[in-house]
Amino acid sequence: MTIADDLAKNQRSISVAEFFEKNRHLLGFDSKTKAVLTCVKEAVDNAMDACEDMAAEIKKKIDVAEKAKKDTTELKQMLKDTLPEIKVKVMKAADTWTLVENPGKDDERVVGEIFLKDGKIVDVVGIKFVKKTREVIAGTNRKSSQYEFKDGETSIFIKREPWQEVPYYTVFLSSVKENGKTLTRNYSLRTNITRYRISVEDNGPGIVKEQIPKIFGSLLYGSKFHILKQSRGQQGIGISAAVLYGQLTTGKPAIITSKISKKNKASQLKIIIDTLNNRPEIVDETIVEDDKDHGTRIDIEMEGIYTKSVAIFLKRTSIVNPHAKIILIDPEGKKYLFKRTSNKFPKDPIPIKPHPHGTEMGILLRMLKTTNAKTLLSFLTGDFSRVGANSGKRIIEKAKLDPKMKPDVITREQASKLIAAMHSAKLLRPPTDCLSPIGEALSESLFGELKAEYVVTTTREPSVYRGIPFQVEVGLAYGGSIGGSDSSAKILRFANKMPLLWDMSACALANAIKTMDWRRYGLNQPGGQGMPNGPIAIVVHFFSAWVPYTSEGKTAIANYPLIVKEIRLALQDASRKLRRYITKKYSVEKSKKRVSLFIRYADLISDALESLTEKKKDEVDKVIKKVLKDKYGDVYDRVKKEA
Amino acid sequence: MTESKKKLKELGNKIFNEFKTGKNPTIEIPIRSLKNVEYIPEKGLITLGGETSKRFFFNIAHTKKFMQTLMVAKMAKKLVEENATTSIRDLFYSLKIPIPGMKDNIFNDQKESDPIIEDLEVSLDLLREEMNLRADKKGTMIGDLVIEDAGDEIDLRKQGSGGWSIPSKVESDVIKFKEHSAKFILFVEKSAIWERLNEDKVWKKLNCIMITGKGQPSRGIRRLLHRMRYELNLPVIVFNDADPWGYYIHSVIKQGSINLAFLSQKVGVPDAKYLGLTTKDMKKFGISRNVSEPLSPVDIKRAKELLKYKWFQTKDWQEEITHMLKEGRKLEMEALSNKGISYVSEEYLPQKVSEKDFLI
Repeated sequence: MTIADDLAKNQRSISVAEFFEKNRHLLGFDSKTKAVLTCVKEAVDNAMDACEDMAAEIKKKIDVAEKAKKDTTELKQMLKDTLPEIKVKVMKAADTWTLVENPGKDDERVVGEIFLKDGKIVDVVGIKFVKKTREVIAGTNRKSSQYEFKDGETSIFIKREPWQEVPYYTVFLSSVKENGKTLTRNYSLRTNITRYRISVEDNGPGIVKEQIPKIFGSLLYGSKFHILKQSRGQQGIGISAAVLYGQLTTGKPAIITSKISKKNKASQLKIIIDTLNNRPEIVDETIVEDDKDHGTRIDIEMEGIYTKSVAIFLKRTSIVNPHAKIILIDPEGKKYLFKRTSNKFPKDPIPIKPHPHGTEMGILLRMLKTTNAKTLLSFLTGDFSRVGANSGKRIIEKAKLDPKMKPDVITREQASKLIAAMHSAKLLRPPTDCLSPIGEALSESLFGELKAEYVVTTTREPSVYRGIPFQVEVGLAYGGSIGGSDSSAKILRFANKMPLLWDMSACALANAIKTMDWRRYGLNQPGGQGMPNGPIAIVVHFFSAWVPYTSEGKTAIANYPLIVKEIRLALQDASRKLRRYITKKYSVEKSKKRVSLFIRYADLISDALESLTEKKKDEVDKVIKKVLKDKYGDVYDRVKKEA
Repeated sequence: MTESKKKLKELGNKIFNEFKTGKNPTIEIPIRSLKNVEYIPEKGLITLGGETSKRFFFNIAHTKKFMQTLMVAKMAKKLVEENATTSIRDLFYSLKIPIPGMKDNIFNDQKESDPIIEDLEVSLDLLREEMNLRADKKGTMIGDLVIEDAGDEIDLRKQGSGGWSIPSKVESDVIKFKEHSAKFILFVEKSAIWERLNEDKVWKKLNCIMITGKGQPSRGIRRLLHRMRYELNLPVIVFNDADPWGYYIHSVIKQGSINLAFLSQKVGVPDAKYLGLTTKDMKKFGISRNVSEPLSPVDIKRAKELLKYKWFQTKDWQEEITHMLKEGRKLEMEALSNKGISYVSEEYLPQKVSEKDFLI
């Protein structure tokens, strides 16, 4: 074997992993905090899409059955059962217990370290493990464990108590003794989680066994890449990147469990990615019992840091996906439930062909190479939307090309002329039924999730930027349990029904909010620009067949003037309604406050008049009460009741 | 029934009837501001004009003051009935109580309750003393005079270094004048100077009665000055700082104040004379410019206001204030000490009095 062969082998063996390493930031794995969130995000994306795909299939069947005048009750029930129910669990997979003497002081000393994996001690450093004893926690059937360690003559006891839902537990230092006597010396136990197991389960259609490795085990495998349709993911890279990240940081395979119908048993596959060939490899394959009808579950173990951003992300996901029920169990065993507020699936987005105005050079070149069309004209009319025979001819004429030429022989130079002609051609706007707004359901969702006292939503008509249809909907949730009047407004940004959590300052959605004059709408905005203050949450949802993110990290929307303008128009429309509400609310409050002043003061006046006039208390009280009741009947009763 | 009780009861009945007949209950109060005072040159007094304001119960801007006025009236009636007196500060504290069902108090500050008392005085044409309310005493007096204070005979020639403390009520039922041989009354703005003069027994040398109000004199002191002027027939001479505030204090003693214009008849001393300090004294007595002070912007503003007041339209005063503005300096009484600690008692005052160098 030559040196070159050896080198080639090395080069190839690191290629996928190296690609990943170099592109972590593009894929959302550039920090340990982001890694956990990205994994959750990608898995939830997939779960939601799976349920919606299934619903679309069922809807088709319902249509067919209805046309044939057949009974659809069963299908409709099926559709209802498909409403997404997604369970996310983030569990401690490995943790370290560090025993410290005199914590936080100058003479702080690490006494010992205990390493655990999946709840079992795998290594002890600095101290000696003596024994583990178990006992039943009174009143439950759970058992707590006590671990005894020795540091010279000192015995250290650490206790672990499981929660109701294993594997969640709490760990604490139970006592430190020397020769049977409890030490008063200052010890403390620090626990540090280094590795998590993330598990995401859905009630979607399940995946046939043969497809599982392809979907979860090869990068850049997906069905969304060439179609223009509003969808959550758009690069087809997500979930397999999470599998790879887990594999790179822990060496463990991802476990996928999937069940496709009541009759079938669930199959469970452990897969890793063969980084040599970018190919999935099945490590283990079993049949498992699973009592649900259908659905998929993925378990990935990875190094990372769990933060609250996971809960925030899921809460926001739930706001723009009112038809989904999402459950999160965090590493401490705390359960979050984000309720379903709508029982209707959103409208299915219909895929469309690209529009000439929005086509870029790279895409055009690829389309020219892969098209089935025989001539340039049929390529234009067949592979693009809104191009008929006449407009197709005009484009080709302007580009000075031959309508009959074969698409795959077109040179780069010719293509650039063609694209110029395409961009300047007068064409109908692209069809907009590829978009699926949340619509009315957003309002219910905001009431439910944010517990606001007033909610207003506005959905704009679809619009087009550079040949790509897009649409904007906004929601304003006011009062209730949302912030105080001094706090800054809460900004919730979404693109294609997924929350955007980072890079707010670079984002067109935030930019549109900042450049509005909110003072005109009854909100406080220092200096008349920037984020407004007040008990308000501002929700902006941008959705499009192709979302113009500022970077591959998908964290912010590019500042196209037309997009900013549409958002502002939507915000203005909603704000006008909000202003009406605020004005009314304050005028009612003000008049109530005014009347209640008269009523309160009247008690004192009645008292003073009694003494000044030397009349009987009853007589004075009666006269004053009558005047107040005549004037302000209902408010009078209310104020009196409150007092 | 006393006059006070009758008037308070009448107020109550009026309000009660307005409630009963469905009218918006109201208290009518003469306006106590510059636009509603008149200077009557013949009398040399500031008097209250005829303009009144109405305080309505069913008006969000008036309602609290309306309630406060009635609460004060109630307290006053109680005092009159029980024949007890209380200070205006005590009155404030007894009404610094929460309004039932609210966080707010009836009164939060004495600055709120004092004007309400004055409102009630002008509205009912009753002095607060007649409603058994008194102010804190803050004046002292000494000199060639014997009086009777609440039955005790007091010889003002034998009051040591502190002097006799003037009570808040100085009406003839409390204070009676017995005998005197003084030739005039000297009002001194500052008590420190008054003490200096008493230490040097100036009142003996000049044969006068010396009185200080520690700044703006209370109405008790003004009432006492008024009584001594007319009952003992003694001229009143005023000795203040040479600044707009000293001049204004003089005018209050002389013609009355804008705020208490309704009292002028009872407390004014229209022929009071101003002895000093004046800014012209600086040159006359060779007082060093170093001990004078520059006029502040507020001083200048106030001085220009004084120039416009009708009761400052005399040759003497126009000249003095114009001179002050021209010099841009003011002078405190203490500045005289620069020429020696007893200069004021041994040189300045005797010379001024004997030359009758007064501003009129």
